[in-house]
Amino acid sequence: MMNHNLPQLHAELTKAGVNVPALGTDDSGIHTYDAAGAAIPLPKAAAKIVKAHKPTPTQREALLSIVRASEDPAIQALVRLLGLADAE
Amino acid sequence: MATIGGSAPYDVTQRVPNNQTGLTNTTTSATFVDIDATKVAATVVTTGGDLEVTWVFAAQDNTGSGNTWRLALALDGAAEVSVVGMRSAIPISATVVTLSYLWQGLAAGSHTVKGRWRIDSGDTLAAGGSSFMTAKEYRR
Repeated sequence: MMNHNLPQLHAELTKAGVNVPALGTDDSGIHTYDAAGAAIPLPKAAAKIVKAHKPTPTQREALLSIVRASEDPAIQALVRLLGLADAE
Repeated sequence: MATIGGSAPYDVTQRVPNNQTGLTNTTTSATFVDIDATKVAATVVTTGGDLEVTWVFAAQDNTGSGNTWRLALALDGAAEVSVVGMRSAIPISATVVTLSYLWQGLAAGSHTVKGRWRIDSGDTLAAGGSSFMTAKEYRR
Protein backbone atom coordinates (compact mmCIF):
# COMPACT_ATOMS: atom_id res chain seq x y z
CA MET A 1 0.00 0.00 0.00
CA MET A 2 1.16 3.52 -0.70
CA ASN A 3 2.42 5.56 2.18
CA HIS A 4 0.15 8.42 3.18
CA ASN A 5 0.12 11.12 5.82
CA LEU A 6 -3.61 11.06 6.46
CA PRO A 7 -3.94 14.24 8.55
CA GLN A 8 -1.98 16.09 5.86
CA LEU A 9 -4.08 14.56 3.09
CA HIS A 10 -7.28 15.43 4.93
CA ALA A 11 -6.16 19.07 5.11
CA GLU A 12 -5.31 19.01 1.39
CA LEU A 13 -8.75 17.63 0.54
CA THR A 14 -10.48 20.24 2.68
CA LYS A 15 -8.42 23.02 1.09
CA ALA A 16 -9.49 21.75 -2.35
CA GLY A 17 -13.15 21.84 -1.30
CA VAL A 18 -13.52 18.08 -0.88
CA ASN A 19 -15.13 17.85 2.54
CA VAL A 20 -15.09 14.46 4.21
CA PRO A 21 -15.44 13.76 7.94
CA ALA A 22 -12.26 11.68 8.27
CA LEU A 23 -10.01 9.32 6.36
CA GLY A 24 -9.12 5.69 6.81
CA THR A 25 -7.12 3.03 5.03
CA ASP A 26 -7.43 -0.71 4.53
CA ASP A 27 -6.08 -3.25 2.09
CA SER A 28 -7.99 -1.62 -0.76
CA GLY A 29 -6.72 1.92 -0.21
CA ILE A 30 -8.08 5.15 1.26
CA HIS A 31 -11.71 5.63 2.25
CA THR A 32 -13.91 7.98 4.22
CA TYR A 33 -16.97 7.24 6.38
CA ASP A 34 -20.74 7.62 6.23
CA ALA A 35 -22.81 9.05 9.08
CA ALA A 36 -22.94 5.64 10.78
CA GLY A 37 -19.16 5.24 10.72
CA ALA A 38 -19.02 2.67 7.92
CA ALA A 39 -16.25 2.91 5.35
CA ILE A 40 -17.30 4.38 2.00
CA PRO A 41 -15.30 5.38 -1.08
CA LEU A 42 -13.88 8.87 -1.36
CA PRO A 43 -15.75 11.25 -3.67
CA LYS A 44 -14.48 11.20 -7.25
CA ALA A 45 -13.22 14.74 -6.83
CA ALA A 46 -10.68 13.44 -4.32
CA ALA A 47 -8.77 11.31 -6.82
CA LYS A 48 -6.67 14.17 -8.20
CA ILE A 49 -5.71 15.39 -4.72
CA VAL A 50 -4.82 11.88 -3.54
CA LYS A 51 -2.67 11.32 -6.61
CA ALA A 52 -0.79 14.59 -6.04
CA HIS A 53 -0.34 13.90 -2.31
CA LYS A 54 3.30 14.01 -1.23
CA PRO A 55 3.39 12.83 2.39
CA THR A 56 5.68 14.54 4.84
CA PRO A 57 7.04 12.26 7.58
CA THR A 58 4.81 12.06 10.61
CA GLN A 59 6.28 12.66 14.04
CA ARG A 60 6.30 8.92 14.54
CA GLU A 61 8.21 8.31 11.30
CA ALA A 62 10.69 11.06 12.17
CA LEU A 63 11.27 9.60 15.62
CA LEU A 64 11.83 6.14 14.18
CA SER A 65 14.39 7.49 11.70
CA ILE A 66 16.30 9.21 14.49
CA VAL A 67 16.47 6.22 16.83
CA ARG A 68 17.27 3.76 14.04
CA ALA A 69 20.14 5.96 12.83
CA SER A 70 21.64 6.31 16.30
CA GLU A 71 25.11 4.81 16.79
CA ASP A 72 24.67 4.77 20.56
CA PRO A 73 24.74 1.07 21.59
CA ALA A 74 22.20 1.73 24.33
CA ILE A 75 19.77 3.28 21.85
CA GLN A 76 20.36 0.42 19.41
CA ALA A 77 19.65 -2.08 22.17
CA LEU A 78 16.44 -0.25 23.03
CA VAL A 79 15.38 -0.22 19.38
CA ARG A 80 15.88 -3.99 19.16
CA LEU A 81 14.18 -4.52 22.51
CA LEU A 82 11.09 -2.66 21.33
CA GLY A 83 11.04 -4.47 17.99
CA LEU A 84 11.55 -1.27 16.03
CA ALA A 85 14.74 -2.19 14.21
CA ASP A 86 13.12 -3.29 10.97
CA ALA A 87 11.64 -0.93 8.40
CA GLU A 88 7.86 -1.08 8.36
CA MET B 1 -22.06 -26.71 30.29
CA ALA B 2 -21.07 -23.71 32.37
CA THR B 3 -22.69 -22.17 35.43
CA ILE B 4 -22.72 -18.38 35.43
CA GLY B 5 -23.19 -16.30 38.57
CA GLY B 6 -24.19 -19.32 40.58
CA SER B 7 -27.62 -19.41 38.97
CA ALA B 8 -29.10 -21.92 36.57
CA PRO B 9 -26.58 -23.36 34.14
CA TYR B 10 -26.08 -21.98 30.67
CA ASP B 11 -24.93 -23.79 27.58
CA VAL B 12 -22.58 -22.27 25.04
CA THR B 13 -24.77 -22.93 22.04
CA GLN B 14 -22.40 -21.53 19.46
CA ARG B 15 -19.16 -19.63 19.09
CA VAL B 16 -17.91 -17.57 16.17
CA PRO B 17 -14.22 -16.70 16.04
CA ASN B 18 -12.71 -14.11 13.69
CA ASN B 19 -8.95 -14.10 14.07
CA GLN B 20 -6.90 -11.79 11.89
CA THR B 21 -3.22 -10.97 11.61
CA GLY B 22 -1.42 -8.55 9.35
CA LEU B 23 -4.03 -5.82 9.68
CA THR B 24 -2.79 -2.45 8.40
CA ASN B 25 -5.99 -0.40 8.78
CA THR B 26 -5.71 3.22 9.90
CA THR B 27 -8.09 6.07 10.69
CA THR B 28 -8.11 9.78 11.47
CA SER B 29 -11.69 9.78 12.73
CA ALA B 30 -12.48 11.71 15.91
CA THR B 31 -15.81 9.88 16.20
CA PHE B 32 -16.30 6.12 16.43
CA VAL B 33 -16.06 4.33 13.09
CA ASP B 34 -15.71 0.71 11.97
CA ILE B 35 -12.16 -0.61 11.95
CA ASP B 36 -12.98 -3.18 9.26
CA ALA B 37 -16.54 -4.30 8.60
CA THR B 38 -15.56 -7.91 7.95
CA LYS B 39 -12.15 -8.52 9.51
CA VAL B 40 -12.90 -6.88 12.86
CA ALA B 41 -16.44 -8.13 13.35
CA ALA B 42 -18.41 -11.24 14.22
CA THR B 43 -21.88 -12.16 12.99
CA VAL B 44 -23.96 -14.66 14.94
CA VAL B 45 -27.43 -15.92 14.07
CA THR B 46 -28.75 -16.28 17.60
CA THR B 47 -31.64 -18.34 18.87
CA GLY B 48 -32.62 -15.85 21.56
CA GLY B 49 -29.85 -16.23 24.11
CA ASP B 50 -27.18 -13.97 25.52
CA LEU B 51 -24.21 -12.93 23.41
CA GLU B 52 -20.74 -12.47 24.83
CA VAL B 53 -17.87 -11.06 22.80
CA THR B 54 -14.22 -11.06 23.75
CA TRP B 55 -11.88 -9.03 21.58
CA VAL B 56 -8.11 -8.63 21.68
CA PHE B 57 -6.74 -5.88 19.47
CA ALA B 58 -3.44 -4.06 19.02
CA ALA B 59 -3.30 -0.41 17.99
CA GLN B 60 -0.87 2.47 17.95
CA ASP B 61 -0.87 6.21 17.67
CA ASN B 62 0.66 6.34 14.22
CA THR B 63 1.36 10.04 14.06
CA GLY B 64 3.08 10.12 17.39
CA SER B 65 1.49 13.10 19.08
CA GLY B 66 0.52 11.05 22.12
CA ASN B 67 -3.16 11.93 21.82
CA THR B 68 -5.96 9.84 23.30
CA TRP B 69 -7.49 7.02 21.28
CA ARG B 70 -10.40 4.77 22.08
CA LEU B 71 -11.66 1.29 21.24
CA ALA B 72 -15.17 -0.05 21.71
CA LEU B 73 -17.62 -2.75 20.69
CA ALA B 74 -20.93 -2.03 18.95
CA LEU B 75 -23.83 -4.41 18.36
CA ASP B 76 -25.98 -3.93 15.26
CA GLY B 77 -25.01 -0.28 14.90
CA ALA B 78 -26.13 0.68 18.41
CA ALA B 79 -24.14 2.93 20.70
CA GLU B 80 -20.65 1.76 21.59
CA VAL B 81 -20.10 -0.24 24.77
CA SER B 82 -17.05 -1.42 26.66
CA VAL B 83 -15.29 1.79 25.67
CA VAL B 84 -11.67 2.06 26.71
CA GLY B 85 -9.41 5.07 26.26
CA MET B 86 -5.66 4.93 25.82
CA ARG B 87 -2.91 7.47 25.58
CA SER B 88 0.20 5.85 24.20
CA ALA B 89 3.07 6.33 26.60
CA ILE B 90 5.43 5.45 23.77
CA PRO B 91 3.80 6.69 20.57
CA ILE B 92 5.95 4.46 18.37
CA SER B 93 4.82 1.12 19.70
CA ALA B 94 1.52 -0.75 19.67
CA THR B 95 -0.65 -1.31 22.73
CA VAL B 96 -2.67 -4.50 23.12
CA VAL B 97 -6.17 -4.02 24.53
CA THR B 98 -8.73 -6.66 25.55
CA LEU B 99 -12.44 -5.82 25.60
CA SER B 100 -15.38 -7.96 26.59
CA TYR B 101 -19.13 -7.40 26.80
CA LEU B 102 -22.25 -9.47 27.47
CA TRP B 103 -25.51 -8.58 25.72
CA GLN B 104 -28.43 -10.24 27.47
CA GLY B 105 -31.81 -11.28 26.15
CA LEU B 106 -31.22 -10.62 22.49
CA ALA B 107 -33.99 -11.38 20.04
CA ALA B 108 -33.42 -14.41 17.86
CA GLY B 109 -31.87 -13.51 14.52
CA SER B 110 -28.68 -12.24 12.95
CA HIS B 111 -26.55 -9.94 15.10
CA THR B 112 -23.23 -8.35 14.18
CA VAL B 113 -20.68 -7.04 16.61
CA LYS B 114 -17.98 -4.73 15.28
CA GLY B 115 -14.82 -3.35 16.76
CA ARG B 116 -14.74 0.42 16.45
CA TRP B 117 -12.13 3.11 17.07
CA ARG B 118 -11.48 6.83 17.21
CA ILE B 119 -8.59 9.18 17.93
CA ASP B 120 -8.24 12.83 18.82
CA SER B 121 -8.49 15.18 15.87
CA GLY B 122 -5.40 15.65 13.72
CA ASP B 123 -3.87 12.29 14.54
CA THR B 124 -3.77 8.84 12.96
CA LEU B 125 -4.58 5.57 14.71
CA ALA B 126 -3.25 2.37 13.19
CA ALA B 127 -3.92 -1.30 13.72
CA GLY B 128 -1.00 -3.08 15.30
CA GLY B 129 -1.45 -6.18 13.16
CA SER B 130 -3.71 -8.52 15.12
CA SER B 131 -7.40 -8.78 15.98
CA PHE B 132 -8.81 -11.79 17.80
CA MET B 133 -12.57 -11.62 18.29
CA THR B 134 -14.78 -14.43 19.54
CA ALA B 135 -18.56 -14.25 19.92
CA LYS B 136 -20.37 -16.84 22.03
CA GLU B 137 -24.08 -17.38 22.46
CA TYR B 138 -25.29 -18.68 25.82
CA ARG B 139 -28.70 -20.23 26.51
CA ARG B 140 -30.23 -21.83 29.54
